[in-house]
This record gives sequence, structure tokens and C-alpha cells, in this order.
Amino acid sequence: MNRNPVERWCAPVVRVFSLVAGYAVLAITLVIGLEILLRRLLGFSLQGADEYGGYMLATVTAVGAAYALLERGHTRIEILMERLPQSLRAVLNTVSAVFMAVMAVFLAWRATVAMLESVEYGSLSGTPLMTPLWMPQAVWVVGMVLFAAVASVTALHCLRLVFGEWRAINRWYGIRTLNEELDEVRADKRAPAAEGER
Amino acid sequence: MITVTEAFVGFFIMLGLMLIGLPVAGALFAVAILGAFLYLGTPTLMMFGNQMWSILHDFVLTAIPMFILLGEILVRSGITDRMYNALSDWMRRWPGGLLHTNIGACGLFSAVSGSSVATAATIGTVALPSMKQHGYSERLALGTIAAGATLGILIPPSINMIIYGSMSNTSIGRLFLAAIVPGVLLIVLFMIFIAVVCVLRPRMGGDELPPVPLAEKLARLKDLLPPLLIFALVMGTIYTGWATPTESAAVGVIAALILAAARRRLTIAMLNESVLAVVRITAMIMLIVLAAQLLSFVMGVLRIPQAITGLVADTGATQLQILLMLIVFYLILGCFLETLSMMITTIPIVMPIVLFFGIDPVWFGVFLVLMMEIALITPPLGMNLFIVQGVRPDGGSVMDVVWGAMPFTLIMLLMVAILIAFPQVALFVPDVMYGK
Amino acid sequence: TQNLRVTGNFAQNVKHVAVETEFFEQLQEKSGVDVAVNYNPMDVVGVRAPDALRMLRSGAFDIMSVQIGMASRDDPFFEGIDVVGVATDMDTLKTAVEAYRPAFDERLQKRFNAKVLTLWPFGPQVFLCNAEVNSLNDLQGLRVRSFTPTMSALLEHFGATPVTLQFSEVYTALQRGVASCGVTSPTSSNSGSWPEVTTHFLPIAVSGSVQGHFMNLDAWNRFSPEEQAKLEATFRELEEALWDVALTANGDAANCSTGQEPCKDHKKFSMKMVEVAESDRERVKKAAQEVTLPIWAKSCNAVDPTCSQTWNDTVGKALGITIE
Ligand code: NA
Ligand code: NA
Repeated sequence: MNRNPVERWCAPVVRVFSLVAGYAVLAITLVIGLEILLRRLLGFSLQGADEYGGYMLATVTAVGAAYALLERGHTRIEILMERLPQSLRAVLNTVSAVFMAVMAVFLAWRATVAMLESVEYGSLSGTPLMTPLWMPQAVWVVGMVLFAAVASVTALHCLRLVFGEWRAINRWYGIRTLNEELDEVRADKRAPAAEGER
Repeated sequence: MITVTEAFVGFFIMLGLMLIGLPVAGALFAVAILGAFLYLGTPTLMMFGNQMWSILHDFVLTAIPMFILLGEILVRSGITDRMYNALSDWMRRWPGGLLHTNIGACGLFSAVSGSSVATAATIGTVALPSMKQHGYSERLALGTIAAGATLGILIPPSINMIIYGSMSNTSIGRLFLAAIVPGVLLIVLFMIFIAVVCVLRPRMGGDELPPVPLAEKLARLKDLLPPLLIFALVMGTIYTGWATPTESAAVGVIAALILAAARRRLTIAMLNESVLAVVRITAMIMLIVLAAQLLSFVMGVLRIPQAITGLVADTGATQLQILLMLIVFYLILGCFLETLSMMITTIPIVMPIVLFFGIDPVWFGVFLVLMMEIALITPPLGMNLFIVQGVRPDGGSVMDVVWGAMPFTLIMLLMVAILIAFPQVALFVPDVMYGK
Repeated sequence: TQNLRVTGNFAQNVKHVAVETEFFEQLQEKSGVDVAVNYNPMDVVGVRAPDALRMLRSGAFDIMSVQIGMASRDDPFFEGIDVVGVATDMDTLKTAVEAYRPAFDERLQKRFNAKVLTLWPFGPQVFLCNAEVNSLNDLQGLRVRSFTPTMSALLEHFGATPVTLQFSEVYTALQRGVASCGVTSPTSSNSGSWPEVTTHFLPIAVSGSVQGHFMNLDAWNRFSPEEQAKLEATFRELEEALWDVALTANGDAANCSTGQEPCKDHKKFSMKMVEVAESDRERVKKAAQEVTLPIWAKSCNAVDPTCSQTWNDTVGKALGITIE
């Protein structure tokens, strides 16, 4: 089975962004741990672990939305889809892809405008750190634009395939089957078998 | 303004979009846009950017990626196999043997994992091969895993509880504490059921396994320590006030990292895979939360929840009748919606009704999560059924899992009844620890 | 009929929301202007307080009950109406609010396409502590919950460690000792049951937590001049009612929290009411002059260089304070 060209080109880029976002989660986690210790033992607060935690969540959601789209990780209901003929499924998958693209582009646009408003007003976060709001929002907007880009490419690809190689749509952009889902779990459990199967 | 009929049309449009395969977040979002555009005008629609930022940069919800990270690190550090074997040493002589081990392992893994699907996949993979080998009733074995794993969203930490707490403005610390007794009680009820069945029908309980020498059993107890330790750390930091519930997730992750390092499983590759899974799963959940909150904003301005609450109030129903209605509502909705999406989508509508009828929001959190647990193991759409079916080593019919899980569904409904009859089952612990 | 889409204050501020609800229900009748109001508390519809000015400007809502402290995120100028430490009692606050009102309204119209209808306080923001705190000196080394940059600066000036916590987390934080003191109004702390987990009530007001009702200008301009005059007069009644709530309700809540009489409308507790020394009030005023006003002026001048001058000409002149 040949590989999805869109995935081949997008995945490496999105993966890098996702890794950065993922390690940001780890970093915030460690900072919060440090904050708890300092607060408890030295009566000293780092100020802002919570604020940056919020920024991290917004960014992880944006970047991850792109990653999940490529990995077909967004929750979809298959109960009706799996009973439909392949050709109709291909059409519906295309509709889904186009819709997600429209949504992602709209969200990225409005996110950008929200950030520009923060620039215009010189808004500061209402916290003791007084972070210029546009800075965390800019990082978030990068994630939203990435999501919009991946969703758009996906939709265009579907639209090109739907009048020709439509079977590929279901393979590449259909709802993930349970087996695909579980392959991941199995891959995760790469731990060697428990010793002593008695 | 908008009539209740129009609101229902909107609801069916949303369901329809979900059924034709649009991602759940996309369907919610479509209805939010439609509602804003038709009834509120473009200025409201154009505010979605600022609304999104406000919804997303929320420290309370930061607990979600952190608890997912905790689970990912633990699964990859391979504690589950050892945990299962240690439990099996102690429980193998009980009537039903390894079936109890399944429940126990699910309960224990639930105490460190925020999700039920992860619990089902992890324990199922470890347990099912030996079930077959020792001649257990296949259906019962499959049922114990599918049902036991639902504890993942009840026993703290629980991602469902965090989202519920955040969306309904309920203390997450209280919710976590409230879920402990019902969680343990459910484990006990499951085990009693298994014991009774296996005493009546010894053949379903599998081969008799040789006892393990006491010294070995004691030596293996240390394998139960990691999950217990992490659970104690997370709940302990919340209870002693060292950390807020959100911060406690960080404590758990750090402990898991140390544990993984001690077991020499902490590698860059492992960390990469863990954080990537965190990013993907967090985004999947948060995109639904985001879309549901935007929809809730539109519905709120249109006063839809208030109108529905008024409608329900006008029926003159009692608190009990409302709860029965909600049980039926969630049983039906659970037939075709994925549970987390179902919970997130319905909270904005259901909460005003719950508060109107004077139902305690902490208690309702436990009730709601119990209903989600039931939805996880009832056909046609029950995620845990599919997961267990997917990890079973032989290729039987999915109906085996469905039938196997059925008695456990009834036990959960019994638990719901207990919860309604004795609300203190949930409220006692948080009331004692935090004061009323 | 003109339709007005209104967001009110936070639902947990039961008293204020009750006043607002009644007011908007009777708006048509009282003002004699033909309006239909769709009123919802802001948290009920999921509007976040810091977004208020943007929402007003866009016209997503016609009238909003705005928490000025939070909304100042988008323009620190507005925080000038109630800089932490400037007004230590409600009379002084009233003087400051009146002095600042014209400049405030002008700027709101110019930058956010909205106009001021009311300006009123939640009430004095006072200290509730779970430690022996009998004067500002005793704050030394304690962890105190703070929610704005200037408040943090003030706390640090008094030797306390500011910690940031969401309102919903403060109760358990106080109970478990994550924080030793919280700062909020007597009514909010009473309804949040803080007195259960604190012992000392230190009634030094570091701010009045000023709120306001603002109206989108496009909506405003749809009314004729006569209608506008009627609406303004009616909203002035709302403003007076809310000032009244701030004075009477907070007095009652303070009495109830500290087990004194008269105590009518709040939960009864038995905190120790600390006698505030005059020297402590002076210290707060001095801190305002030396610490919080300069910080505020710096951030405000960064957006608009005439900021501190405007303040000196209005509030400063009325209270006899000058930002250097
Ligand atoms: Na759990
Ligand atoms: Na179900």
C-alpha cells in the first residue's frame, strides 16, 4: 500500500512542532513541582507557573489539533459510517475534511485578529508578571495557523482524489479502525513480557 | 431570540453532522457558528477568537495534559505486568481467581491513570492471554476487563472529573475525594459478584492455581508499591494543601519519571513517544471542550439552558424523577455518542437543571461519571467493549464481550441506585476532609 | 422596540445580580423608553471578565457589567479610577470616582466605542488571615493571595509574599495554609465562607474594586436625545442602589463575620475584628504614593504619555496626591 503523500510531507514538520509543544508540557510540569517545593519549604512563590501553564495548554491544543488531524486522532462517530457503501463514505470523508479546513481557517483567522487586538491595545496579562499578551498569543497563533494549513492541504487532497482515486480517501482520511487504534497501544507496550508467566 | 423547538432542531443538526462522520468537535463548532450567525449577528461570531483564548488558557485544565503524561510514562515503564502478577499471587486462591486480579489490577491502574480506554487496553493486553490458558469462562473474563477498566474515569485522578469540575465550577479536589468510596464500593461489588458466580458455577472460575509461597508473595508486594505510591502522592498533596489538584498532577508526573528512571526505562525515545501522545490526546479532548464552550456561549446568550430548565421545572417533577430522567437520557445518548464527547456536550444544558433542583454538584459529578462508565460498556457504542474485543488474543464475536459486560452494567446501575439512596456515599469523604 | 443584549455581573455576587436583574426587568417601565432586555450574568453565558472591553467595542453585547480591574488588561488607564492603596475608605473612593469619571468616559468612547452608564464599587477589599495579624507589620513573611500586579507590589512592600490563586481555590488554600491571608470584600468573603478558615479580620481597605455598566455607542446612538436623557437618569438610580449595597451590605457582612451586631443578611462567624491603627492607614497611603501609583503610571504612560498628567489633574487634585 503506497503512503499518503500529504502525510509524508506534512508529518515531519508537524512532528517537530508537536515535540516542542510536548516538551513544554514536561517543562511546565517540572516548574510546577519546583514551585510547590519552594512555596512549601522556603515560603517563596515563583509567580507565574499557573499563567504559563495556561499559555502552554492553549498552544498544545492548537499544535496538537494539527497533529491529531494527520494521525486521524480527532473523535468521530463511526456507527453510521461503517454501514455505508465505500463510495458514499469517500464523499462524506471529503465533506468532513473540507469542513474541518473551513473551521480551522476561520479559527486561525479569528485567533490572529485577537492577537492583533492585543498588539493594538498593548494589552498586558492581568497577572503579577504583566506579560505582554501578544507574546503568548503569537505562539498560539502559530499553532492555529499550522492546524489551518494541515487541514487545508488535507481538504484539497481529498477534493482532488474524490473524482479519481476515491478509494484512497477512505484509507487515508477515513475514521481510524479499531485495529489501527490498537496497533498504537501495542506499540506503546514495548516493554518485554513479564518475567515468570506461571 | 429562539424557541425551544428551534433549539431542538439545532441539537438534531448537531447529531446528524456527527453521524455522517464529521469530527465531534467540528459538529459542535458548526452548530455554534450557525447559531451565532443566525440569531446573534456577526459581531458575536467575530468574537470567537478572543473567546477561544479565554477558554484555552485555563490553568485548571492544564491538569489534563499532565495526567495524560503520567499515564503514558507509567505504561511505558512497564509497571503493569509486575503489578498484575503480584496481585495474582494474592488473589489466585479466591473463588474466581484471576478474575479478581483483573478487577484489582484495573482498580489499581485507575488510581494512576485518568482514562478508561488506557486502562482497558493496558490491563486487557496483560491479562487476557493467561485467562484463556487457565480455562476461565471467556465471557466473564472479557467482562471483568471491560467493566473494571471503566473505573479509570471514576477513581481519581480522572480527566472526566477535571473537565466536569472546570465546566461546572465545582472543586476538583472535592470531586476526587467524593469518587473514592463509590470507586472502592464498585470494586467490592464486582468481586462479590465474581465470587458468587464462581462458587455456584465453579467451571467458570478456571483451573485451580497452585498457591504461591508466602515469602514469595511478600517479596512481590513491592511491585504494587509504584502505583500506590503515586496515588498516595497525588491525593496526599491535594489533601494536605501542599498543592492544588492541578499541581498535584505535576507531583505525580515527577514521581513517575523517577520511577521510570529507576527501572532504566527513561530514554529519549520513550519520552518523545510519551509527549507526542500527550499532545495528540490533549488536543483531541481540548478541541471538543473548546467547541462545546463556544456552543455553550451561544446557547447561553440565547437563553436555551434557562428555557429548557424552565420547561423541566414546569413539569413539576421531583428531584428523583429528574435523576431517573437523566439516567434514561444518558443511557439512550450513550448508544451512539462517545462518552467524553457526550459528557462535555451535555453539561451546559444539564447543569442549570441540576442546580435548579438543588442537586449537589459534587454528588452529581460522581453520578455523571458513573453514567459515563455504563455508557462505556453498553452496546452498540461502548468504547471499552471494542478495546477489549481488540486486544483479545482469539478472534471470537464481539457479542462475547457484550454479554460478559452485561451483569456488570447491572451492578453499576445498582451503584447508581445506592448513590441516590445514600448520597453520603459520595459526600461523606469530602465533607469530612474539607468541611461542608 | 430596541432590543438590548446585556451581560451582568458574576452570578456568585448574588446581591448585585439581584439588583441588576430587577433593574433591567423594570428598565422599560422606569425609564419610559421602549426597550426589550435580554439579561444574563456574564459567567452564565461564559463571558470572561477581561474580554469585556473587546466585546463592547465589537458590539457583541450592548450593555455589560464590567469588572474594571480585570478589563484594564486592555487599557491600564481605567485602573486609574481605583489604584491599589489610594482610597482607604468609601468616601475617599467616591471622591476619586467622581473626579475621574469625565476622563474615563471620554477615553472609553474614543478607544472602545462605549460609554459609561454607572460606576460603583463592590466594597472595601480587606484582609482575612488565618494567622495572628493585628497590624500591617504582622504581614511580614506571610503568603497573601494577590490578583493584580499593583496589589502584589503593595504586598511585597509590606514584606508579604504574594501568591496567585483563583478565587475558587482560595478557601482550601487558606484552610490548608497554602496562603495565610486573602484580600477581598467582606460580602464576597462571607458568602465564600472564608471566615470558617480564617481568624483575623483586618479592615484596611486597599481598594474598592470599582465596577461599571458600559454601553456600546452604536446601540446608544440608536436612541433619540430625549430617550438617552431618560436612560441616563434611570441608570443613575442603579448606580446609587449599587453604592448603597457596597456600604450597607459590606458593613453587615463585616459584622456577621466577626460575630458583632447588627448582623442581618449574612452568615454568622466569630473572627477577631482587628482594630486598625491610624498609623497603618497612613502606611497604606504612603505605599500608594511610593509604590503602586508609580507602577501604575509607568504602565499607563507606556500606552499614553499623558496618563499620569490626566490622573494628577483629576483624582490627584481631588485627593491632594501627585504622581511625580
Ligand atoms: Na483514574
Ligand atoms: Na454505550
